[in-house]
Amino acid sequence: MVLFYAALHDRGPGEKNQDSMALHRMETRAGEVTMAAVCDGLGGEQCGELASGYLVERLSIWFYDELPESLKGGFSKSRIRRSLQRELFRTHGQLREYGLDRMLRCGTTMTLFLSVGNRYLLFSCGDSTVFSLRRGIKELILRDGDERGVKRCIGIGSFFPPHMSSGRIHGDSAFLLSSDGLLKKLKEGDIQRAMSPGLIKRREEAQRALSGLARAARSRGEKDDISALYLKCC
Amino acid sequence: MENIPEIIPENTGRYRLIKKLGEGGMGCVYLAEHEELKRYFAVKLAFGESEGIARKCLRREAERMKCFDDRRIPYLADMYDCEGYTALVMEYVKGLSLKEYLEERVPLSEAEAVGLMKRMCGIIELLHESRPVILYRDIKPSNFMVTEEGELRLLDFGTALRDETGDERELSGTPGYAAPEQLKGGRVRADGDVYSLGCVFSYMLTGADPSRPPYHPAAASECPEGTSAGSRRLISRCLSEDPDKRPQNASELMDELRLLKPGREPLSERLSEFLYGALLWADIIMALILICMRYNGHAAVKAEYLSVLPLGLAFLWMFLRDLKSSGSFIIRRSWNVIYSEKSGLGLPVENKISDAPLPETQDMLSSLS
Repeated sequence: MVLFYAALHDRGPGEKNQDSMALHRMETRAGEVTMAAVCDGLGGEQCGELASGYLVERLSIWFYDELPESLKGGFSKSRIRRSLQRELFRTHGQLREYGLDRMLRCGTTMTLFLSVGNRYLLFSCGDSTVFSLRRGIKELILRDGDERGVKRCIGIGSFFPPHMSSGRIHGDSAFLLSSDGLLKKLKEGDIQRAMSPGLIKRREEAQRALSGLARAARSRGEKDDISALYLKCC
Repeated sequence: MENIPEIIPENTGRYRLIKKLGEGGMGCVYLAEHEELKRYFAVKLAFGESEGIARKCLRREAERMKCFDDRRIPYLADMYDCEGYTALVMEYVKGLSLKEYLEERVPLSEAEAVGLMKRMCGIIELLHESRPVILYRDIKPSNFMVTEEGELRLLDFGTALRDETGDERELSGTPGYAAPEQLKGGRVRADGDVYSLGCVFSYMLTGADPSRPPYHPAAASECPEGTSAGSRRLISRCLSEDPDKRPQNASELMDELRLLKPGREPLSERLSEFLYGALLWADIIMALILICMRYNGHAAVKAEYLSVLPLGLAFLWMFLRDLKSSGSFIIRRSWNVIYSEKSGLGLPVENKISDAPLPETQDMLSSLS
């Protein structure tokens, strides 16, 4: 169960923050369901924020309109994955068509955390990532990208289903979803020291810690937009 | 709003502009002070050419507003054209927007929600009962003000339209609150306003704001337990996709609101509740009697009956439980938060380059950083 959250949405030197994030929670007959998503728009100043914003919008609609249908028969990873893939495929097609019609690069990476009761699913496409913070810090999904750029994303090129991983939520643990802006100049140890769930008991503390991380990344020369969602679980 | 010049005049006519109160699709609203009377007014300015859309719309808004002489609608004080802009001067309503009011309080109790609905509906009734009928077309909490005295006022007639021609199909409304046919650009009637009122009613009771994802109102089944069946039915009717199934105007909706008894179930609901309990207890008592008879050596009760009894009980329990909890899968929503700099819903439709050659997408990918 997710207890509280903190969010960081810090714009770089560009005119607009090309990252978008969404956080939703609902109480259902299947238990508490939470979705958190961090998307990093690609395509320079042209339409990065449009792609990430549109994907976040579609994921939010999917969460309320389609996910409940997948949960009605009980928790099923494959049913949820199929439903999400359908939505991502549709959105990928729309963004791709939009970009091609306007000669623009209109794509976005995506990292999505979904919890149902005490179980969680992670979906990832691109170089945003999720860390699990408990006794130590552990990156939970395969990051897909290097210095030359991302290999796959939503909205550009062919559609690739997202990587998926799953697990159980333990007491006094936390998850950190982050765009690559936070990760390029900081090490895992920096993040663990700042965001350890043992140190953070309230939302304000998490918010302060996230802002501290952003300041540290900026002081080390980070120019990219920085976005992160911290979810404290009980 | 492309028409707004960078430098706004400090004075307009006899009014000194003090601060910007808001910005709409066609103009900006300022708090202004009359230089001689020393009274505050709200001044709406539309910029552009004299016959441009923005200034025409403002004149149309004045036409609609002057039809009413009711304290629940701000009075029109003045209207004039200047070089480069048109000004509409109206009563300044001090208070809190209903949107802000609700954000702090939802979900409301049913009694409070019905009370607020009656007051909103009463104002819209004025529009729907005028001749020709005026359609508001953008009912949402941010267009209502709760004054310091606790009165409700309707603001911004920018989208209001006379229903006399019936074929003005300009797109208007707010996603989440506007009726489906309105968003598709179809003809809007008074029942479109009723749909929007239904959205507000649903928001008040469930706490799910239709202007946030998934951008449609929560169904009646999401109302909290204890909400009367009458309110649930009314929400379902107002939110019907088929305009003919909705109350046809605000007067009809008001009639139905008056019949609601918040928190009190009608007789049929109470009867079904009673039957549910009675059936369950009858089954349990029957099972106990059978068990007692069996253990007292009653020959008529065979062991097979007893073995199937738990199964029968389980089925009956599941049936009755499903019957009772056939409500929405979603019980309550929270944390509906989005951080994004994208404006508007969906993808923009302009700037399309038709017949453009397709770029090599893999090249595009590899050049992305």
